Amino acid sequence: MAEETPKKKKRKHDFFAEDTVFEMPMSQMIDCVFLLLIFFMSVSTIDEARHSKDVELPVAKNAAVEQDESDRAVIDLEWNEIQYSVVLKMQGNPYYEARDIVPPLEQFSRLHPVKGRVVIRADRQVPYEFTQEVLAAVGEANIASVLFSTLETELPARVPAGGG
Amino acid sequence: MRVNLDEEQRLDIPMGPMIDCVFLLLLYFMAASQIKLEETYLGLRLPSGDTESKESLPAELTIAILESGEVLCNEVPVGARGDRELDVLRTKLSSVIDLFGNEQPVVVHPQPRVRHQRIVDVLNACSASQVKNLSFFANQ
Repeated sequence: MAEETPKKKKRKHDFFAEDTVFEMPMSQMIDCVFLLLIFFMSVSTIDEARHSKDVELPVAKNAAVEQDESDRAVIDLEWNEIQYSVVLKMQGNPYYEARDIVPPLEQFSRLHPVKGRVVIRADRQVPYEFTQEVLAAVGEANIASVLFSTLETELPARVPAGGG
Repeated sequence: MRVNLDEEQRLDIPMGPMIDCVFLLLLYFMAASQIKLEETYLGLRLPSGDTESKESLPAELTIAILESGEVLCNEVPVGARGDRELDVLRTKLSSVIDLFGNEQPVVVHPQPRVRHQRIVDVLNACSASQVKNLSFFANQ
């Protein structure tokens, strides 16, 4: 029986030895966390315009990008397919009928006589009969400039409310 | 007053709670942030008393949008139901604009139940063809 040649034993590190002390490099981690924090703080903006998030805007590739958001009244038209009805909101405030927005639009027109514009954020499924009522109300308030909000590209698939 | 501290009494900044706070802030901003999609706009001018012009304008071009989604230009079909790009309409509008300039009046006449996306498709084609004098037909 041949003698076993003494094998060179691989030295294993005992991670659980009492004298083993692990130190996490905290300073680098804190640097990263601070950088991330500063990034998210800087990119976050408070949504002052109070636009409705329930409006699925239509897609138009040739629409213009406009940076100037001053002198604008925003009208949201949310669509309820089941009830075949529209929820009308102006500057975040709900209204029952299109003609109810004439007084606030007239007030807006008085405040912004030259450059006043109305932005209509209508859901892509809203039938024209509802949009037409809003256009008539805007015309009645003597505002000539109307913009339809669109998106340049299709939105990613929506997560249904309730997480389903 | 200067306070002399021994080695053992040296003041340390408590890093643990500070990192906790920073992590909480980070989580808050990560959760509250959302990618904002930039909105674009298609404009039109509504007729009003101030903007009425007495100049004679060429005969208007009427674009009808049927409930089926079909698009007609002066009663000639220029776009089928699923045609989102409306290339035939664009070509027609471009040739008219080349002839009469971009003040050529174009009236969009959608049927009451036409969906907004289809109207925007037509407005998009008008925008691509440099139509500036655009208005809507008012259904009674």
